[in-house]
Amino acid sequence: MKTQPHLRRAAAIGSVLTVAAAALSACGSSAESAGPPASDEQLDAAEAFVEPYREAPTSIGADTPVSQAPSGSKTIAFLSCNVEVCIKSQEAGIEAAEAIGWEGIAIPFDGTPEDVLEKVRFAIDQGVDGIAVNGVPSATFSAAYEEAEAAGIPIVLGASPDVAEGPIVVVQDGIPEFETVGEVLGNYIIADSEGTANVLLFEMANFPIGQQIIATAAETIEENCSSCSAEVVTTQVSDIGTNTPGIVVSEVQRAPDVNYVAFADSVMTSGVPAALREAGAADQVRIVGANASAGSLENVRNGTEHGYVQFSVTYFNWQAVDAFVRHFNGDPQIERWQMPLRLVTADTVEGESEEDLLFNLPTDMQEQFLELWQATS
Amino acid sequence: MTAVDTPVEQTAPPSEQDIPRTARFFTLSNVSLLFIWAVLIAVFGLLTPETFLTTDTFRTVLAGQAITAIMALALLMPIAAAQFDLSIAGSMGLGIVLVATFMAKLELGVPLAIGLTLLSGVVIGLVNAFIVVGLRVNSFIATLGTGSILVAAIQWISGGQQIVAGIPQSFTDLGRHEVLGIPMSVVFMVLIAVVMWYVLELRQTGRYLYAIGSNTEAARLAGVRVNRLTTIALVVSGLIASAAGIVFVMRIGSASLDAGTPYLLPAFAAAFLGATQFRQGNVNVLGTLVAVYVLATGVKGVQLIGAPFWVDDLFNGAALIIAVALAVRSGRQKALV
Repeated sequence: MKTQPHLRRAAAIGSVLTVAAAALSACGSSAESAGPPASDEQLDAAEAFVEPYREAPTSIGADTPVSQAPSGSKTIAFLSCNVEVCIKSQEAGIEAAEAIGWEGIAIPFDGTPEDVLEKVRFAIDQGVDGIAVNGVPSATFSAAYEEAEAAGIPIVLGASPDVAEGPIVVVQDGIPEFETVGEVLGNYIIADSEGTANVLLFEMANFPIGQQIIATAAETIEENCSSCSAEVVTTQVSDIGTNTPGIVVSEVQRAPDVNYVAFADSVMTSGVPAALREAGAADQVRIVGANASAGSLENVRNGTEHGYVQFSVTYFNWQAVDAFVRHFNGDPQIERWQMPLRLVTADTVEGESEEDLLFNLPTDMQEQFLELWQATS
Repeated sequence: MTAVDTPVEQTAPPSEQDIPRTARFFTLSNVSLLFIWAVLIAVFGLLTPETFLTTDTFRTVLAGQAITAIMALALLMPIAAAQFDLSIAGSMGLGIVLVATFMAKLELGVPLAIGLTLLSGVVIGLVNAFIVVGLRVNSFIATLGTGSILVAAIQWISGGQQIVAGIPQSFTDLGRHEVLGIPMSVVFMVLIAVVMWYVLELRQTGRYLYAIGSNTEAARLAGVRVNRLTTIALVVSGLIASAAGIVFVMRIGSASLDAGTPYLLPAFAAAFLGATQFRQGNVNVLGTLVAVYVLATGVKGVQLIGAPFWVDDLFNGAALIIAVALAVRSGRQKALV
């Protein structure tokens, strides 16, 4: 029969693809099985850990003043990604610089290593006095170290897992700070579920800070709650808004006892509530995570998302300016900041302004920094 | 007389013209994706029957791909006329921001907001047509440029801020509404598909578009109004992409600024993969929809058996290359007959 080869070919293609996929599925991780019921001590400990974060933070996390008020004119370049939240962070840096009579310029990059390097070099060519880089590994621009050192331009790296080297005078908000975010998230899930959490935690490849949050949250859940389970699922940045909702639904279908899905960043939840609703799983799982966007706050308000561990992106560049003030003064850098965090739930969003929850943690953040710098607004 | 001397009656293989049209349509080379689809369903049904063969999975795959399918449909007319429209991602993104801005910030009524947003799609299409037809700029370059301008427009209009509040409940309720258990996003996709199928398959416009795509100069010499039809193709493309933006906001309930971009490549992949089916070598509505859902079925199955995250891309890429290679090989064999 003339058509037989086509049939065989089509069947073979489908079979090859599916068998290959099945074989590859062996690479996937599986959930740890839950143990005996969580004890009251475990639940009390989780709630006690979370309790301080239910209230708005009152401190910027450091109280060592600089040796002298900043003087003279300096220009600081603020480099970060070009999405809404990063632009807001750059604007905060410019505001901080201008508050002490300096100048700030925003230089957004598209996130590719080539562009990050190019933008660091651009800032060096501009003859700025300092460069603040946020949210990327130092390796992406290490090729520009020599040029920065030759020009005597210090670099402050924020929200990065790296250590200070070359022209980088300090790394702020690194692994320890984001481990705390993960601990709060993990304990919040334990307390909120009263020890019955079966959690899928979603991270993004090549997003080390987010991966740290998720790894710590998973570890916290497994160590502090004997009856809970935690499984980490890796996705890609390019999956956001398109594949991620389907991946979440599929993972929930695979594990029908899952009752929480946690995300390294709220940007990952785009389309997820709608997909869960269409799959009839909206009532089965609670969506939680770190770093809520305005959209996620609205979803927490309307009940389609459940809770977030919040930190303020504007904080990073006020911190960066603090580092430059200390550097130019010759003061030692602050070794460890206690990054202000806030647990945001339905109760929280009803009582407080979106602006404060997103960008003003604590609400008098600017005044506290100015006080450290012995400056007034 | 020996057997060697016996004259043998030569029977020539039937040409394509000898095979009835309906039978030709259903030749396995023409509908191989349907068989691949069946194999995928069977294999994943055996591997993970408790989760794969469920109505939830059916609904999830159906609804989850509705916007991708609409975006792929937006590409059909331009591709049929041998034009690229890379600006559809920007058109969708602008549609998202505009419909949300009209309703949430300018407090316009839902019908007016939808109407103005669709109008924006028409304007984008006209601008593309002016550049491609009027200025004779290659459509790939022209729409790459307008797509970039649209990204800037999205940021300018939105002020770089996601729009999450103020979208009327009646609008998002429509996105959550179901018709006979079918989500509204799927209903909109089917309506667009039916109109596109009618125009491309049953109207003179469709035949002329394919003629332009096949040989533009020959079509022009035959009296086809190439410039006019190319303009129509690009306008329809912009219109449907902006409609995809409206459906997105209806479904998600908020306006993300960069939501259009991730749909560009899957839409092109579906259109090209669909061109290997039913009307081999020509983009078509049925092939496009089947392509979207074959890939989605495979990806869903892969996800349900717990494959790591990168297997989705591996599956999509492999399926696209293998299916198109199969179609090319099949076409070559036909050419040799």
